[in-house]
Amino acid sequence: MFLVNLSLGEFLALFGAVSGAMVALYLLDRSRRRQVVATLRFWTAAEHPVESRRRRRIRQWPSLLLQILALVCLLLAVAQLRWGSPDTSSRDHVLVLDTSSWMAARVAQGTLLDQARTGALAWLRSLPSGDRVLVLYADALATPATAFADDRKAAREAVIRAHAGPSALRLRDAVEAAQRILKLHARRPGEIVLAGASRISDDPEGWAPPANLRLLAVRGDPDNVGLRRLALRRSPVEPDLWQIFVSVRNYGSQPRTIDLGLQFGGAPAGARRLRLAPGAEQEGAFEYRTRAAGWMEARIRPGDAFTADDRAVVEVPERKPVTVAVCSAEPELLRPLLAANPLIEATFLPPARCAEAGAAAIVILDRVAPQPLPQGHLVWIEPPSDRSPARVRARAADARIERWRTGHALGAGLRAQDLRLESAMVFEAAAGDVAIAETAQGAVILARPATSSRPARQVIFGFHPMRTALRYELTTPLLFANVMRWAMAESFRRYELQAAGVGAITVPVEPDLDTASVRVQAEDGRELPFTVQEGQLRFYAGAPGRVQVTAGDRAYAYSLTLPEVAGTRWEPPDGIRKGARAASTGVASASDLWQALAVLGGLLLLIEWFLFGRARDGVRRVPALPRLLRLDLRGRFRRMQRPVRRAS
Amino acid sequence: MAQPLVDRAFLEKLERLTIHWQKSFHGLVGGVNTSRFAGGGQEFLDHRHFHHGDDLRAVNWRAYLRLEKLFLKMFQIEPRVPVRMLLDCSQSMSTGVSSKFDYARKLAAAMAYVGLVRLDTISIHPFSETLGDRYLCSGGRHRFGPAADYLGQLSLQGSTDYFQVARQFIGRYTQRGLLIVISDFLSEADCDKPLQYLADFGHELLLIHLWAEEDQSPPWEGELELVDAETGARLELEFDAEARERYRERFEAFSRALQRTALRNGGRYTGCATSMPLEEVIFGPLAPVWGM
Repeated sequence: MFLVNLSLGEFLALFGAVSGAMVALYLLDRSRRRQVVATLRFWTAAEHPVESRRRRRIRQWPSLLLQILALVCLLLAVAQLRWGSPDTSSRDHVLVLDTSSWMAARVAQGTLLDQARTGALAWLRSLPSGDRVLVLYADALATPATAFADDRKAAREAVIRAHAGPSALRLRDAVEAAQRILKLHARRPGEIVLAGASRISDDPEGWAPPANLRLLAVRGDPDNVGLRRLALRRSPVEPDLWQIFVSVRNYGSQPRTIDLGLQFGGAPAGARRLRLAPGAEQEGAFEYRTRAAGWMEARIRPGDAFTADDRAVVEVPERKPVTVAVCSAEPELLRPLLAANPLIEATFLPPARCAEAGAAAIVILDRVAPQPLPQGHLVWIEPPSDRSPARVRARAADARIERWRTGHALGAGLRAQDLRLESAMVFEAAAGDVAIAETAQGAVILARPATSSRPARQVIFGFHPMRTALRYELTTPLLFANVMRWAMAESFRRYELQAAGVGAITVPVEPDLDTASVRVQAEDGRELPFTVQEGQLRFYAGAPGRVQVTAGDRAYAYSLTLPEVAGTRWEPPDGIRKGARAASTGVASASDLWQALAVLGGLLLLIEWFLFGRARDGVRRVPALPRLLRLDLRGRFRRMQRPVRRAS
Repeated sequence: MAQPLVDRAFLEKLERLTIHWQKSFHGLVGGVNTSRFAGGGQEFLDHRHFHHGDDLRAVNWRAYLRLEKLFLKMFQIEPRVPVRMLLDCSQSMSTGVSSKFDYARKLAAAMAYVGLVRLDTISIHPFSETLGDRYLCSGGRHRFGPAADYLGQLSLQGSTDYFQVARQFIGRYTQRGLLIVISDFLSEADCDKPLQYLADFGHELLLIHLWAEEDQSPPWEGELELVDAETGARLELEFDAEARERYRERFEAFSRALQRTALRNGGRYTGCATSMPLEEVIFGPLAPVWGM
């Protein structure tokens, strides 16, 4: 037998103080009291002489005894007397609350998270008051919401405050995190209590849950069909054409037929009816032609209990063509080269009108050197010797290109050998210049990066590619493509847009990708950490939003609007504890007596009132309150019974 | 703002009441109470033969022209019977959870209003050891305000001396009338004889006996130190259920004695506890006062 709420010393001190006060009040109450009356004439008939020597004696001692017994019972009830062996110390528990995206699924009464909250709160109520609880929100990551504390209010608030996140539950990680917390921070480890739907994204195969795991499972496992992915990319041959891929999965156990619809800027962009077997995933391919910016939305109908994955949205950027002005007396030489690239809008100007090329992003100066120079990036082809941007060292005849700077963006993919140039200018590279193609005499193609004095880039050709033998080689269009891409890297970047779920995201990249060129940026411009390994770039986004990945000449825009839905249902082993029940075995072996003690205390007070209290009227030293508390039944009854005398 | 003694709704209920008395008194014309005496009133009562010295204005000349005999018209007199109210203001009226004095003042105000409505004149006499100065209520219902203010300003003082009060009353007011006594009738000396004197002098007694719950049946138990509210005398005793029973018997005997005194002298007695609502008393135990 032991007390839960009070120690024995505290109980005795409290009992001594209250019982002492009670006896004092009793003596005071039973002592002689002074009373002002209207007359003494009727009292003389009722007079008994007072025994003054025993003025302070305890009369009606059974009344006092009953009151003290009632007090003992009530104090023991307050102290929570228990029958059995006491628990030697409190325990520390970790309440793992499943806050994965699946918990937002609606069931008959509220959401799955509402059910989990109810179960968690019931479990908290069943805990002994001395036990400490840490609340851990668990989805893809396990995040402590409180520290270990016996403050039930804080734990309750943390449970009520929880909301479903965008990622799926990683059960093993969450339970392992709870185990680590118990190991590192708990004074006496208790239980790991999992309140959730047991839909997990990790593989439970071969995983043995810990022995101290308790499951507060929620009822109901609604069917769900959801979008898994919405991906868009430009057609490589037709820049205005978007190729769209939509992936839909049936997570339920029944076959479902759904209507998949696409909208761009509110206008229908495509529709398809899909029949999905249980657990199956299907892809739908669409095409949509636009150069405008807008929102591409995919939606499936009819809706289901989990609405978060019924809609995905991707922001489509506007296509801006690269404007190229060609100042040439022989425009037909370069026209085929530029017409091959659909992203380029070329304008051909005679040398006399070169000044009109000022608005173009790239200006090709074919054997001319206008004054002043245009502001855009410049591609010089055989510039006049006296006005060449690079000093001409010599003019070579029948020169052979011996080396390409393949490490540079301009020389990427150029491996042609034994190319002979009938005539070429050999340049002397200045500081910062990069020789892209070299003959035995020197550089015949120079790349001049942008500087602070001139922000435009320049490429200087010492020969005309379309007037030499090079015009028959594949190297020429490749070289020009490299020139355009190097000058306007942003415009020629290949975009892929995807709507996906938050969490860990993997992007396939080229194996020889320069990691220095990789940037992963969140919507607010924040750099996200990433790894590149074995041709795969991995990063983690914990919150919905937009993430831009730039890797070389490719750009990926991830619109993380879809929740990560767990596809695996974890079936807990048979031996696992379930339901909200007090966990502390020591306390569980003891039975509560406070209810019986409270009833007994009340009964004793009632008996005392029946035996002794009724004889005392409430009108004493403090007339109003006692009369109110006792309802003055005696006075009311007397007034009802009293006849009114009157003379007629 | 002080709480009024009686509220307007209650006063409206009193409009239909009239103070009645049983005896007939010689008095002045006025009021609405009829008398058995013929006299110079407004209402015709009877005819009689003319005698020398009679007022010629009362001769029925139409009867003389027809019968050639002189007949005199007699009219019913409407006497103004003095209605006096003795209000106990001694310290004994202060005891009780609900003050007897407040209750007595409310009762006096209600009766004064009834008299004012019927154009009667009621004089209020506070008393304790001696008879206080009277306050005259007359002139109609619009004079109720000052009367209520007067009652509200009364205060408790001293002990009750009924002999002295009766002596002073008889000395001051020789004209008989209705005498309403509102009191707990608790004094050191017995009040039976003074009341008898007042009745012997021709006053019609209406005794309104007020008591508090504690006066009738003290709720206390155990050792008590009792202090007389009027005299300050002390008494120590042990009080229990048996003693309470004896106390109640004495109180009942006292009430019965008061009732006998009133009835013996043609008066009336009404006893009521202060726990009863005033309206219930007005239209219940005091109903005979209004002739109901």
